Amino acid sequence: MTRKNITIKRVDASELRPKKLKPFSVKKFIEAATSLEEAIRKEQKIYGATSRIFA
Amino acid sequence: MEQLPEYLHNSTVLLDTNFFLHAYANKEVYANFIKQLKNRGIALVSPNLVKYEFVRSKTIDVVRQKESYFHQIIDSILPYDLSIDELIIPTIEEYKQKMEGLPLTDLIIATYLKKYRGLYLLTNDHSDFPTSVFDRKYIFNLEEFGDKIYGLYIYKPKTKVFDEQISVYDDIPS
Repeated sequence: MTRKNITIKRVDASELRPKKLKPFSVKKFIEAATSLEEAIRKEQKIYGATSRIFA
Repeated sequence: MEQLPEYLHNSTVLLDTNFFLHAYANKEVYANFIKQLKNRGIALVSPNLVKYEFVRSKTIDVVRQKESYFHQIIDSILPYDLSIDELIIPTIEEYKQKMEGLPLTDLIIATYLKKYRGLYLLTNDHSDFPTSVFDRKYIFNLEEFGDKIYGLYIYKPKTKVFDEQISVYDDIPS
């Protein structure tokens, strides 16, 4: 088994950008985060551990 | 938060798992912060690996809500392709002794930063992205969390040329 030299082309990060950024609503974000917090609290009641331990 | 430097406007920023974990627990602060980033034309991106690390939970309800919440923040998912795969071993080699204890997700994030020119990482994990490999371009804290210091990191190429010469195995052992 041998090693060979290859050239990895570094790509400009602008290529990762979507043409239009997703609209961001503070209200919707807070609603989603609140609902997630509640779901996590329920999960903790059932299983007695935090979801945070997974990450 | 202070004004972000001009060069970050319209840039592309990768978010790590910690960001998502902190954000739902401190939603008002992070909502305003994310809004500020978006108002400056900053695209927020992340790989699926971060999503999986973030969403894994014990109940389907939490998994689904986390997934939906993740997609509210992110503008696009970073593609995992062969070129990323080929850069993982060279990234490990570049970390050298700093590799010890590096989580797999952070290794993959580091590889994305190596692959994409001008891709910034926003993180408060300052130990896994050493300044021998990355430039810490900017640090700041969110006013309400003085103890949580975020840094914006970018890959520091070894040479001025944009393309990187690396060596890889040309056949895979059977």
